[in-house]
Amino acid sequence: MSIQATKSSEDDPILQWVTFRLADESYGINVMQVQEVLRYTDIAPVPGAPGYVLGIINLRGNVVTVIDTRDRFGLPSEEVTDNTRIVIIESDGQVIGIMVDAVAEVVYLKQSEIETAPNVGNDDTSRFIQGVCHKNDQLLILVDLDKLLSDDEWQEIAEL
Amino acid sequence: MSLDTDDEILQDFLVEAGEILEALSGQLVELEQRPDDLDLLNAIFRGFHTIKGGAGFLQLNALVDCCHIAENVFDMLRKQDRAVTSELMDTMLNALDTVNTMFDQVRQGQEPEPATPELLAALERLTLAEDEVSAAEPTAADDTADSGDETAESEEDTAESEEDTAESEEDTAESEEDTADSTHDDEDLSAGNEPTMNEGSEPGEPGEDITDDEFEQLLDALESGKQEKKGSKATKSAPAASDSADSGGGDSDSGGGDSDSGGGDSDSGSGASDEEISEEEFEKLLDQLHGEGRFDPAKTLAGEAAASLEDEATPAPEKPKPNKSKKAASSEQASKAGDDDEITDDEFEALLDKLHGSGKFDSAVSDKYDQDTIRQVTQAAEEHRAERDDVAAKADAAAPEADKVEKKTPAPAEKSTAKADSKAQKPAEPAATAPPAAAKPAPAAAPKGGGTPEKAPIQQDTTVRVDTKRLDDIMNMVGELVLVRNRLVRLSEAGDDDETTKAVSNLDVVTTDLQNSVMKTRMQPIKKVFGRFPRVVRDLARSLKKEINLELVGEDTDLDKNLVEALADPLVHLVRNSVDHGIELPDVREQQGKPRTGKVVLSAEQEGDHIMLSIRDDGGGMDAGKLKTLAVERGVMDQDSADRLSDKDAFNLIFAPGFSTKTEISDVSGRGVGMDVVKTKISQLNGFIDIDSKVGEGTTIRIKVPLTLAIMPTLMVTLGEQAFALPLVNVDEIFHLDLTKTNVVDNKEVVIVRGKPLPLFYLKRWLIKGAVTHGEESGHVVVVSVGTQKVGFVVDQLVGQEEVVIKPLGKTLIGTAGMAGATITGDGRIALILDVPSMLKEYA
Repeated sequence: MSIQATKSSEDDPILQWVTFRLADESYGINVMQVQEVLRYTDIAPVPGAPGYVLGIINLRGNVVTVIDTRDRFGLPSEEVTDNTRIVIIESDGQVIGIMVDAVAEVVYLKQSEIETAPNVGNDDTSRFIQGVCHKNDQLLILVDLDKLLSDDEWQEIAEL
Repeated sequence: MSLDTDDEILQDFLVEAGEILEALSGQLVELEQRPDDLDLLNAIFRGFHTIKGGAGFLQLNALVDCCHIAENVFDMLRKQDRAVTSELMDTMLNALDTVNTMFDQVRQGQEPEPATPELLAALERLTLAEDEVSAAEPTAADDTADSGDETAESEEDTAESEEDTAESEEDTAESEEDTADSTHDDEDLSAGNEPTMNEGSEPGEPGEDITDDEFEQLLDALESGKQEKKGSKATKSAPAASDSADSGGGDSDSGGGDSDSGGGDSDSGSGASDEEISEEEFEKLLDQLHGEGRFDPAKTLAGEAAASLEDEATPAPEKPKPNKSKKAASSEQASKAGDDDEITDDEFEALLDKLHGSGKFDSAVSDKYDQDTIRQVTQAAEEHRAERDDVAAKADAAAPEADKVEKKTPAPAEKSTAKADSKAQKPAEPAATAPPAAAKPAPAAAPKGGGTPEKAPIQQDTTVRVDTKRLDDIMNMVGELVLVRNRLVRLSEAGDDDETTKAVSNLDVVTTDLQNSVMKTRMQPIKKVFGRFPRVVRDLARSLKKEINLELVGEDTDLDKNLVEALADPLVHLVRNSVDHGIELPDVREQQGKPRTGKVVLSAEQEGDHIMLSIRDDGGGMDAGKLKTLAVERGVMDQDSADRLSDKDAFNLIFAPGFSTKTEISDVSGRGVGMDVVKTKISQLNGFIDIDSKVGEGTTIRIKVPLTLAIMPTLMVTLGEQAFALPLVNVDEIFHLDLTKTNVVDNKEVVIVRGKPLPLFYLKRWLIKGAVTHGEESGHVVVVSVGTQKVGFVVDQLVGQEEVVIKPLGKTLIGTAGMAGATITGDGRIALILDVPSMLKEYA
């Protein structure tokens, strides 16, 4: 995955991350991969689609698949609230929506602040984690979207 | 050596030549039918010539060689030095195939392999002989084997002597040409005023360095060269060439030169092409005239103009020469000839630009134009006039030349006016621009010339090549617009604001128009597919020893580009079938009291929003009984069901997989594309295929396809809250049903419709999670047909018929069983488009 540097101060580039909440955790995704953030709209379910696919939405005339991030991260599904957002991301040439509990902010992180994730076993969640960042007493989990969406991973999930 | 396929010039060439090659194959076959059609001969000649030119520019020598010889043969044909025979056509088609092969190699970025020596020799033989020799030589060669008599010999004698004459003529011509050549060379050396002369890519020294004297000198030299040129042409009595020479003869030199170079360009085409060319030239000349002032204000306007025109003239007439003196024109020569051509074009362009801006010229030329133009031009002219009064005399001197050019092109003059018009406005700004500016357009034009050196004379319409992708995008956006419009229409229906309603209905109309015109941009005449059939049928008929006449009807019918491409394979298969299985051998036909020559009619016509294609032959027809027996034998069905089949159903058996009535597979049909594949392909296009046949009278196959693939007529239904679209092609009928009156057969619900049992499925159970469908008393049933099978779907609501724009599903969802795509309904919601066959496969 290419990490986009917004400002490069020698060897320590600053990266921007969009943070969202899922269950009680904060996650971050690279801002360069985020196209837009939508309020929850009606999602048309697609019969016969895999379980992690919530359905499709109409994004200004384009049909966009929305996946259930909770399902993907092995979290129980929750009711849709006022804060529920669909983050439209582009990864590997495809545009996909991921449904999250809430979108918080954009944070600037230095490359050096990102630590590798503690290996907590073969958990569903850890599979897509690129690293973690401890800032202001909060732990931010940085998600590797390409892994989140890659076919092999889907395959594995399907086989589980 | 591999070719750089990214090269723009190469790409241009590929597109260009590809189209020409496609056309050529049709034209060649047509030629066999109408060997005396001069227009056709010229068209073919031009085709080969254009490819040669392009190939020469790209240094594809193998291609150049082959085209060059082919071109020579056609040059003789159109001069009637040789008659069209089947043998000749075989060789020519062979040559075309070779060119096609080379072309494919080029497309794949390889250096084309040279044509086989045999082919080249065969072609060479065709070009060598002239007049009767041409007839005598091959005949003689053939005859010798059979009879080897004196007649042939004596004929050959005559032939030889005539050939001598021809040669001596050629010699004269050549020597004359030499003179022209040398003059041209001189000028090249001394003047160097040809920005594009040096391969068109490096702009040469602008001509301002040339002194008046030099020009005068050149002019003289060229004039004499020109005279000789004309003479040589007359001697050779090439009809078209002499035409242009004649017309040029009476005129001033520059005029003559112009026309001559045009002759070179078009290879002394027919009258019609002459005209086109003159128009081209004319336009260029105008450019040229405009460029003058900017280029070199105070000097030698007339002289330069004349000289530059002469410049043009010299290399151009030189061109036909190597062709005519054929014998063994080396590839170098050939490619050079090609280059010459392009350079000529480019030079023209360059010169035009040079001359561009001369007020004097403008006004002089525009005298002939309508008043508007005159006004504009004169305005521009005035400015220049003020600047360089001293130029006036010379410019005026040049004016008559322009006049003459004009005279020669009376017809296109009108058209040119418009162009001149726009150009005439230009001089104002670049009036006194430095010479480099003038030189600039030349290199810019050069690459273009390389790719499409002579496209213009053939196709005079102003066209723009657009990437299909871009058209698709536009189409997509228009689709969006249509959806938004639909929403607006709905909203305005809800409210009762008069103004809004008016505006919306206006929008409605405009959008519909826009949609139609965008659709039209994607339309192509079906000629594109049909064009290959004459060749296919001819070759097949020859190899099967059948006599077949192919008739094409409705070639101009337009349909979606994607459809045109998608239809090609199925149609080829069907036509091959007709020729191979349908039409009987001539002797058999005679016995049956039919004409020896079989007939295959391929027709296309528009029927509402569909295109109806039909392939009709007057051959043996199909025997329904035999088909049924075969079906039973092959285990496609049992005897009972076979007996119940109507004749029509029996014919449709041939579309069943694994069904072939021919016991042995010939190399003609049975090439892997079975009839079931044809049927599948047509169904993929949302089309129908239907077959009708009568034993002894022939078979008709009809194909009905929608005009476009982008928009699909559907039946909208709802299940619970969600909308689904059923492709209308699948829908047979809809009816309201009392659900309590169904029967259960073999654990499946069945309803009796008009005495026939119809399996019934609840779509809701399949498509809506956790849906409850029991206890309902009545429902809507949509009867859909898949192949020969019919099933009924129970749905909650019928919304109505709607044309939808198909949106593909994302990568994660593509291939989901039963879903063909999605669309956006008038209220902005999403409806899934059902793929009935795959849905049945998945759920039933």
